Amino acid sequence: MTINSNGIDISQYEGFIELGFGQNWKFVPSIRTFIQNFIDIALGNASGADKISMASSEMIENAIKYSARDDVPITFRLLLARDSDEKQLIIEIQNYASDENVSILNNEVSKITKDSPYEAYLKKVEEIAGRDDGKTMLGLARIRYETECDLYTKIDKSLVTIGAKFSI
Amino acid sequence: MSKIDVNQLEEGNLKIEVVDSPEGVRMKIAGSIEMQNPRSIISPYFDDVHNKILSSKIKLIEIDITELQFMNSSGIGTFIKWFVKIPPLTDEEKYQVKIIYNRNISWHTKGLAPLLSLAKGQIDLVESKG
Repeated sequence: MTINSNGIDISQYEGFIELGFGQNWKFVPSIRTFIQNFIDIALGNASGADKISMASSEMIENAIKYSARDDVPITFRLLLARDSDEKQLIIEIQNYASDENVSILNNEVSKITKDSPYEAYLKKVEEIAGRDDGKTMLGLARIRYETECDLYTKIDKSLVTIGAKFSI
Repeated sequence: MSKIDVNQLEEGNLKIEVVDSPEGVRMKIAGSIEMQNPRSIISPYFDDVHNKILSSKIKLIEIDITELQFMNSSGIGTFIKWFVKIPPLTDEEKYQVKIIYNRNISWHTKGLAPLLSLAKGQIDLVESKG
C-alpha cells in the first residue's frame, strides 16, 4: 500500500497525477494541455480527453480566482480507477477560500444540483444575461452539463475541495 | 470598402476578424478564449460589431468558430451578453446569427445549444461542411 502526503493510497489507482501551483493565470492553458495529453494517453479517447480537460480548466480557473491564500499551492489531482466493472476518472481541485466564497460556493452547488444539468445550465445562462457585474459563475454548471459528471464538494473549515467523477 | 469597418482583434492566441459575405458579414474566431477577463477585451469588440451591424442594416452575421479550440465559461459570457441584445430590437433592426461549428471539437456540439434560447429564432447552429 502506498500512501502519499495527502493520505491517498495511490496504489489503488491505475493513473494518478497531482499538481501544485500558484495563483498565476498565465499557466492555466499549459496545465490544461498537459491534462488533456495525460488523459489522451490514459484513455485513448480524444473526445473524453477534451471534456475532462475543459472541466479541469474551469475548476483550476475558479480556484485561482477565489483562492484566499497565495502562500499555499492550489492542488489539482487526477485519479484513474483501476479496472473494474465501471472505470472512473476523478478530478479534484483543492484550495483555501474565504468564508464568503465558501458560502457562495455552497449556494451555487446547491442551486445547480437541484435541476437537471441542462436545466441548471440554461438557468445560469439566463441569469448571466440579466447581470451587469461581469460575473458569470457558469463554470460548475458548464462542467456538469457538458460532461455529465457527478460533481461534489468537501469543505473542511476554509479548505475547499471540488471534485468531479466521470464514468469512462 | 467593407460593409462594416471593424478592426481585427488579436489577443494572445485569439484572433477575431470580420469580413464581408454574400448575405452580410462573417466573423472568424480562431485560437482560444482563455483570458481571465474576456469581458474587458472581447465584449467591447462584440458591442462594436453589433452597433455597426445595426447602423449598416445588415441582416446576417455568420460566426465561424470552426478553429476556436477552447473557450472558458467567462468567454461564453461575452456571447451571452451580445446575443441578449437581439430580442429587444425592432423587427426592422433584428438580424440573424449563424454559428458555424466544428463537430470534432466536443464543446461545440453541446455547449452552444443553450445559447439559442437567448434570441429565439434569431440564432442558428450550422455544422461546418469542411
